[in-house]
Amino acid sequence: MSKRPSELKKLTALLVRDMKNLMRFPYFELILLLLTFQLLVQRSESQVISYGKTSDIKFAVSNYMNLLYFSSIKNQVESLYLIIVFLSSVMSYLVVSYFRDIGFLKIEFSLPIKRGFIYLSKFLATFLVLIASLVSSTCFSIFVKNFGVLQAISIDQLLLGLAIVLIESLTVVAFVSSITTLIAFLIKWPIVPLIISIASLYSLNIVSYNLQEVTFFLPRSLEEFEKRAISYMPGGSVRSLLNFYSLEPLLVSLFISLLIFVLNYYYVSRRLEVS
Amino acid sequence: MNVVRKLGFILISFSLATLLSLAFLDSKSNYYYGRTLQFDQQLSNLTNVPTSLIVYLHNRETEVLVDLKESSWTCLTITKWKQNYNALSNASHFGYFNFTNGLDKKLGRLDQGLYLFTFYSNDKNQVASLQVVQSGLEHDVLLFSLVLMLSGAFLVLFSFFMNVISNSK
Repeated sequence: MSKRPSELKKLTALLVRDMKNLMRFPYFELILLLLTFQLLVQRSESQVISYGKTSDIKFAVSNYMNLLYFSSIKNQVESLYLIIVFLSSVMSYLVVSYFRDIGFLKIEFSLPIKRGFIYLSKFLATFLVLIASLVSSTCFSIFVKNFGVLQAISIDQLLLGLAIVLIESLTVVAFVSSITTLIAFLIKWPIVPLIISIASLYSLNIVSYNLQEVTFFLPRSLEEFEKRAISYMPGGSVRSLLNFYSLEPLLVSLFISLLIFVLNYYYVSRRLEVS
Repeated sequence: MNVVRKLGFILISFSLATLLSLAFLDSKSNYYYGRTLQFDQQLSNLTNVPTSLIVYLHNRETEVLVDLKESSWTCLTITKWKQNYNALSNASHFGYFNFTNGLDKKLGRLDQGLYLFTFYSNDKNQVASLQVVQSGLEHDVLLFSLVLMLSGAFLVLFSFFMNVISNSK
């Protein structure tokens, strides 16, 4: 008697298939090229610092190196927001709307797999591919731009900078991919979800920059988070970053992402009718 | 083998992005500005007190311009830090210039790293304004991206030939 695969194995198989679909040559490579180019092209102007007495030099050099490292991390993820919006919309379109258009989604829903798992695999595939491309391209660009600086800073500072990039990437990708996946499942017509996702997230970008007092809307909340995170810079560590004060600007976006994720999970597993 | 090929393609795309950004940045110059403290600010009873400017420079063609507040003898030494950024003993003198009315000097292509511009003056009211201009290709990044591209191409070809060999068995 053949053993039936467990639910987790089914989910893993679906996830791997969707990820392979999104990462196939040359799409993933083009995403990396686009993100890395965008990051490498923007070079912040290096600052010059002065000091008066020779005895201050060690302190001055160490501060200067930290300053250079954190100025190269600043605004990195924020500058990629619109590209992430575009990529996430296209990915959600490919794994949901396009599959529905060619009738593959109907076949998937007729398989003996929980509907929630189908949703999870599609959301996680978009999320993981975007996170992988965003984090790898950001780390690569930091390495290329600051090769000499990285040798001079402490391991705590290095990890703190990478933690800032990781937290920002997780927040942006969770927010954007939850919205684009929701729109892709809600709207049945082809191409329309793609346009609506890009338009809605682009308008959010404009709103967040126009409302100067409100700092909890993405992508401007990233700026506020960086400002608070970098205040831990001299002698700070990853542990000092993980507190309510520094994460506060991102909490609203994370809460909205979670809410949309739960709503979408409920909609796909209970209400969605695939024709 | 698919993972090796994918890794190869990823390295090639990183390398292409770096080359494209280099080509784009080649036409742009970087400007670094700094101004020394007044020489009498901290130790007013002494003369010849150095004040320094620290700047991180890239592997590009470099030009140094200095404007002086007063027309008096000023000396500029340029020092480069080696591997250990905290150790003064690892510093190496790179250039030494004497001038009275300012300086405009092409230094050629510098290695990437931290540089210290130290000014000496007998005039305690002297203030030096430094401008460093960097332009041209970054050769070290260019070399790095070429190595990356070759590594990527090697991985892609290696996985291709391994596939051919395993299929022919």
